[in-house]
Amino acid sequence: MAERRSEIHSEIVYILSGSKMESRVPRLSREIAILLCAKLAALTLLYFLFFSPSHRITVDAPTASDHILSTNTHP
Amino acid sequence: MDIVELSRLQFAVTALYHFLFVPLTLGLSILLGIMETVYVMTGRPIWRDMVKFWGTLFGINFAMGVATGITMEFQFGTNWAYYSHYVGDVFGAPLAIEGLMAFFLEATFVGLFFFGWDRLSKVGHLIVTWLLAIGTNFSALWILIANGWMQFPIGARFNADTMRMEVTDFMEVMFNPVAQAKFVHTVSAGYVTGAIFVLAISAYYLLRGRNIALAKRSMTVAASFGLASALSVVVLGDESGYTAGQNQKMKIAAIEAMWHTEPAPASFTLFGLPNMKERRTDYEIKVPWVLGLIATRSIDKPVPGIDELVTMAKTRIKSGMIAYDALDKLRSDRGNTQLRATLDAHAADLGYALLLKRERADVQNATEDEIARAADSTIPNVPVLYWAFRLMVAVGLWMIALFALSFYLSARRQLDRYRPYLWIALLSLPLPWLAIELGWIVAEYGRQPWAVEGVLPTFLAVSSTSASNVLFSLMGFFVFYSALLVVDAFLMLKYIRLGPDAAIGRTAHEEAA
Repeated sequence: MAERRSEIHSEIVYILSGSKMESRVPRLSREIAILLCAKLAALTLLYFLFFSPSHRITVDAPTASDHILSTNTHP
Repeated sequence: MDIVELSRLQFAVTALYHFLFVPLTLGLSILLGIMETVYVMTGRPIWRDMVKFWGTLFGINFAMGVATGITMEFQFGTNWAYYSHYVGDVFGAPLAIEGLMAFFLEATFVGLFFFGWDRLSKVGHLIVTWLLAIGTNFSALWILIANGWMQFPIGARFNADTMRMEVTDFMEVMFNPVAQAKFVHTVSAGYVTGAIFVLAISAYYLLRGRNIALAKRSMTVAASFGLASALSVVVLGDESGYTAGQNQKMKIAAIEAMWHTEPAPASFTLFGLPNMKERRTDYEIKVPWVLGLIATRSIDKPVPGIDELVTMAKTRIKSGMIAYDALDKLRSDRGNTQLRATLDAHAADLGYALLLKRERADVQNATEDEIARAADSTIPNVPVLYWAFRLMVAVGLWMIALFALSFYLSARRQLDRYRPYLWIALLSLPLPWLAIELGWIVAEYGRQPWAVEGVLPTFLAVSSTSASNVLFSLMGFFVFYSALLVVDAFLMLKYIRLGPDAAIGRTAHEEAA
């Protein structure tokens, strides 16, 4: 019985205090959203600066063959 | 620094940075599953509050960590083009499966986890939480299958026409014993990280005398889960050591700074100062039998030393030179079956001949001196491996002691009684990260000079691009990732300080602990 009363008390505290703290939830969501946008922008920048298709080296069987069986030594 | 060193540094920095987030995601996701299971079983609101609070910190870590690893996949295309061509047929499949299976699972359920509290039933939300944890662990599985293949390349063979390794048996790739051992060892280390995170932050709340009930319950879960995980790390690490002892003998010899083969069973060097130049270990303190038991699980099999492995490498280089010669001649005589038969007979050693490319171009004509130098290049940096391994093990043992003490105090309901214990728990927070990063250094630095063990030397795997390109992108990474780390630390500290009430959006339930 005492346990049940304590549970009801907890639920009342839950409901009553809800409005007081609720304003903090959107703040976390907003901060994570801003962070994800900034991260996406930075990753996109990194991609275009360093990884876009023009930065990639195309290797096929003849290129690989030249690389491995070439007459050059490697660093 | 040349292009090889810069490319390696860039990949190492990215991987080590990415792995600051991964283990916490692995560990916290399971802990959330456990806490929510208790909530569904007992119906007590405090357990829901715990899931919401630790879930908030999980969310910050997930948001920061996600996609930081994707730049490694970009690097395969820019810095490691020859690697991508040479082993892409094998290596690409697990990465693709990871994207399709694990990322989709994670991406779907992470949204439902955060926004589904009021839209799903209790059991429905619990299933979502566990699926999120499973998705996270699946991701680790496929990455470690790919990595395991680099350590022990099975289930594939070299094709002279396409100049690449091609899959012959995907099941062999998937159930590679090295990959499986690495997977369980790595995820257990992640669970320890999650448990320490919960334990340390809960200790902080107890030290501040706030959120006592939530902190004590969290510590109880972390103590039992952490103890089981820390013990698993040791047992599964032993399995990882055994598989390395079978397939990467040079790595084991380097970790032990074991220059010469000892009579079986080999002793374990507890302490010593490895001397690369003189090829000896000074001031050794040895424990009889232990290495023999770990590496061979027997008392009659020897563990080969570095010098003997170098001699074996010379034999393999000479065999590989025959394969290389046949491959070179096949370029102008594709239909020659005799040459193909010769190549097939020596294909397993082709990678060893490629080590000679640093010495001379026409490797089939290498001199004994050049062969000796190439064989010597198979020795990784012994002091780095020696100390990184010992430090990792020491941290692992500390974790076991800490969790055992926490478990004992939890069982006696005395978690908040001893402030020195709470301080120790709080100050132990960075240790699992340290151990995990050291573990990766042992695993990957110990693989050198190979990109794929015995198949492709690292210096042949890099792209023919300029060092300045790699240097600029490395600087870009450094700036971006440092900024991200500062923001992560700021957000984490902020929401830890604000505490459960802010994360939950109301006063957390405080039952009598």
